[in-house]
Amino acid sequence: MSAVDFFGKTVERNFRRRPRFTRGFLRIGYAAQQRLLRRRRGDRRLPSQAFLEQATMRAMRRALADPSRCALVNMFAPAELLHAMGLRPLCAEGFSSFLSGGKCERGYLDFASEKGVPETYCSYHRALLGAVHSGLLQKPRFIITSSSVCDANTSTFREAASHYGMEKFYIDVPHEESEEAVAYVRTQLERLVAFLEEGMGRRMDQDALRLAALRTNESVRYQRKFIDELARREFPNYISAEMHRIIVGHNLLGTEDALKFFRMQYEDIMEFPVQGGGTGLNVDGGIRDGLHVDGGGDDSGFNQRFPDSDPRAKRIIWCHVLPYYAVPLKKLFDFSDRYRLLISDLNFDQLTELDESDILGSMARRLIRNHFNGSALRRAESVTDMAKRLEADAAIIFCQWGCKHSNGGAFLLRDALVAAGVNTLVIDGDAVDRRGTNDGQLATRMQAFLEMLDGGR
Amino acid sequence: MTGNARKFEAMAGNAAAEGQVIGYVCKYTPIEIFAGFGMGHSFMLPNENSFDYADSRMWPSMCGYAKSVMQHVHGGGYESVVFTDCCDALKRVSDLMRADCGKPAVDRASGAATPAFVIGLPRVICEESIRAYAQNLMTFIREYEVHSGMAFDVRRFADACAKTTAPEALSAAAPVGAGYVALLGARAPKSLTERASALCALPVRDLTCASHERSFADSESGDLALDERLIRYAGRLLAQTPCMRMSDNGARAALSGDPNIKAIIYHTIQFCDFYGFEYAGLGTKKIPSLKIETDYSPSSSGQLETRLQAFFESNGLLAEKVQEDKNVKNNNYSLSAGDEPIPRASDTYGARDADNARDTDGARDTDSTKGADSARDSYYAGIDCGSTSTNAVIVDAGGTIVASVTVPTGANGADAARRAMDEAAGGIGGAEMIAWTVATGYGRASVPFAADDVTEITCHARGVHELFRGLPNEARTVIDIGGQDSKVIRIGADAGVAEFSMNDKCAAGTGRFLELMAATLGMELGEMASAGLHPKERVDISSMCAVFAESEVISLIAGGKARDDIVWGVNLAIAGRVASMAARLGARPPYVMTGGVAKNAGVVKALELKLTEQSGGAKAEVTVPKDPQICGALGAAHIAREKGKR
Repeated sequence: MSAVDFFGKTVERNFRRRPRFTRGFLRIGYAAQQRLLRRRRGDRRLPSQAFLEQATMRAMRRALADPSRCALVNMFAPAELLHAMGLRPLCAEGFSSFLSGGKCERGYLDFASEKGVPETYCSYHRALLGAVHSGLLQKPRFIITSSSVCDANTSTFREAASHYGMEKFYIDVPHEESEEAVAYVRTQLERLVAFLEEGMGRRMDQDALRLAALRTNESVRYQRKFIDELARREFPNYISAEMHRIIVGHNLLGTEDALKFFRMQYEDIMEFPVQGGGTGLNVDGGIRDGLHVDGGGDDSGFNQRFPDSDPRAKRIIWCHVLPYYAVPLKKLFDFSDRYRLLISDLNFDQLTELDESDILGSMARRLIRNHFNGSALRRAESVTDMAKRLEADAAIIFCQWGCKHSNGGAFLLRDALVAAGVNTLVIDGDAVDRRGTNDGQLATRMQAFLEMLDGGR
Repeated sequence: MTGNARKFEAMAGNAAAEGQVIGYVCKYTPIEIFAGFGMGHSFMLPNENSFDYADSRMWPSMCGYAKSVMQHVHGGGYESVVFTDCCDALKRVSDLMRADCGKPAVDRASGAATPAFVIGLPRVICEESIRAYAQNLMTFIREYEVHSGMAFDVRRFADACAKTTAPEALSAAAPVGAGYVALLGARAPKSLTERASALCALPVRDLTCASHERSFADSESGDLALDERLIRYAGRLLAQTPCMRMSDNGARAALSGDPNIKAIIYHTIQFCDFYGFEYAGLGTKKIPSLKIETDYSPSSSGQLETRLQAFFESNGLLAEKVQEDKNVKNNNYSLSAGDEPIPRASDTYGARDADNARDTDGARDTDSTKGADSARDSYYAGIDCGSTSTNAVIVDAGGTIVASVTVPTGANGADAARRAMDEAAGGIGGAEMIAWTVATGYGRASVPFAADDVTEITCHARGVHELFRGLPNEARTVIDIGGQDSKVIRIGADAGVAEFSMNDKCAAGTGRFLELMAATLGMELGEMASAGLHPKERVDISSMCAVFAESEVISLIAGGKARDDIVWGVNLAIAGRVASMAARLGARPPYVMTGGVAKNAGVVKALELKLTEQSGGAKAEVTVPKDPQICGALGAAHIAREKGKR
């Protein structure tokens, strides 16, 4: 039995009767895992990727450790406001991913079903509610959610608030951008600040908020620069790194850790040589000639690290969440030189800088502009643009069990990508519940698709 | 006449002519604004038999209502459809329709796509959100003016508002103060509202999310500017009882809090997850409630009938007319051409006449000198016509089982029922000895010789109660896993059905699931029952879908997993699903398992494990009667005995 298997089974055996023990056990396990995540000699992970995994694990552990500083949130709750108040966000998607990572998800999913949570409900939210109802998650200081981007945010956080007998804060995000819509959300964010201040019994430190906004802006700029370079450089990636990046790019925005990661990620990609192709937009938006011009790049470093690197690797863009426990996917994509996992569309959905003179207003605009908000056509346009920009050979659309928001627009997205000349595969599965993804089926479909891509060379 | 109105007059007869309707899906839709364009409106409650078009455009795991709307609109007939961004599924339908507008020949009838509009609907109710909604309404008016080439007529809009003076009910409302059954939850398909109304003795009041409560009469007076008028109008629209997509929905408590509600039918739509949460919260109320989940297709009407009838039966709410119809059914059955003539039920299997009703007391009577009627009144039969097998049980006047028979149902339920009954009655000297027969099971309505039919839910509860009455393990919960469905029945203090839950239209969690898995594993069912009792490794198999599980099993076989371990995984999958159903019902031990699947020791073991896990480690034992498959028929026989003695 592997350590993870033991971990999962211990949680499953105890979580109903001994929630306190289970909570402590989880925290010990996560602490041990954080130590194991340190970068070691011979580690295939890049420095930024090792830091990323540690940073998200640390954030999760801290949020669980002190309920009095914990805010239970969705992925899109404005993180900078929380960090400026010294709060630690615990996001539904991130938390459930960690449960699944430790093979602990099954019991909580079933527990939620027993409490009446529909079995067709998104498993990220169902696992979270299982943890709420079973007593694993203690009453947090705040519950905050936005209506964007999916319906589950409304039901999950209402249910959690009702369970704990506390008030939640709900940010209603209109589906289309207009000045009136921005003003509407801005007003709500002002109320959120007041809500936080009242709950914490102190005023928000405006300097801390400005600092968080500055870090966000710097992070966004590094993200953009990274994407520019991704268009013309090979960058080794793996499934779980994409999932960890989602947490850093949303709930940890505004923190020193997030800024450090995005800076490191940019520095790491600059270590890799420029390949032919890519639109080569540089940081200032100018066109590069496809040559390696930056001092940070060093071909020898790349070749030492990835001697078999295939410059003709198929470049693949991912849409939606990733089932990072799925062995067939890991085998195909993790550090693969044949199939390069470029980026998930959850990692470029809100590359919006904040206006330091109107932080709340620009946060409101960011919420509305997020490409998952509003029509699926907007997301399709954004993903297609990115696929073109990164010269993606293919796209994989993952239909997460229970996500009507994303799954309903899957064929629209596929049509847009195919029209843009991007081979596209739509698959379904469950990124949390192992029982919801059939490894054999997944492997067959994925392999057939990649064979098709290879045949098209 | 205002400028807008003049413009409207001039445009009359244009694209959006009188008589055309705009389809809509949400009670917050501003249909009075449609009137301002001279357009009619139609709230869409489609009844589509097939989702072939919708399935070609949307991922299958989407809400059935959204798919039925997609399918329905594809059939043509609407000038346009106006959506609110009310839920994820309908947002995606509107996206697809808007994408279709750029494609030719989408609407079968007109050869053009049906235009779709989306109005942003706030999820919170406050001054700002009312203003925001009013702004969105104004945007819609401008968009529709461009689309139709017509000007918005404020006067017609105001007139439409003025006429909406009372709640616009989409179904019959009960008189104020009178008892009624509340239909709550998500919008219900017509088959549900119609059957509920037909089967229930009380009025059934539609309080689902489709229920409109518009009243604008006192808010639209005077010469208000359009902006101001829209703000008032938006405020009134948003003042309706909130649906579950609204963030603040405390006002919904009033829907189930009315003391005149005698029972609740709670409807949820598969893959619409909003309402499952509310139903879970209703568990604390004392009102009898029945949850029904549909996929919004008419194909589930058979299951609907069973559940509704059982629910009304167990709560004394079954319409008298239905009861009477059942009682006279035996005299009215008809034969289709080519069938063998079937004797009238009253001539054979105990559709008794009233004159003999009082002569049934006493134990089994074998004295032939007492006459034919007296002997006949000594036996009572129950026949359970299930999807896989048909069981007949005959009891004597004291309730002792004197004969029981099981035959495969095959393609003809009535024929199977007759075979089973002939065989069983052979042991007591012939069918003429039977005083009263009650049919149950899926095929209960097609058993022509039965004097009465009662749902298998009531019958299983009764059968188990009779078997365990007075014993230390007197059952409180019956778990019945049959060939086509599974049920968890909580037995009340009066030995009747206190509450029950039944799986939805899916083979997962049923005997059919086991059959499929056995076939995939190349095993006989009997063989499968003993395999997997001593697993070496735990393998997980999806409990959500039998088809999905089948391919998983194939993968596991290909992956070299041991057959016994896979069987155990299958047993855990089925047990997990049923145990969740039990937990949702608040089921308590002692548990008794009935139905043919109860003979599968592996499933029973898995069920005990799952129920034990649920109870936090307190060992849950599941008792299986000697002949678990005949419990439904036994219950029916006891009900026959009771009815026959009256």
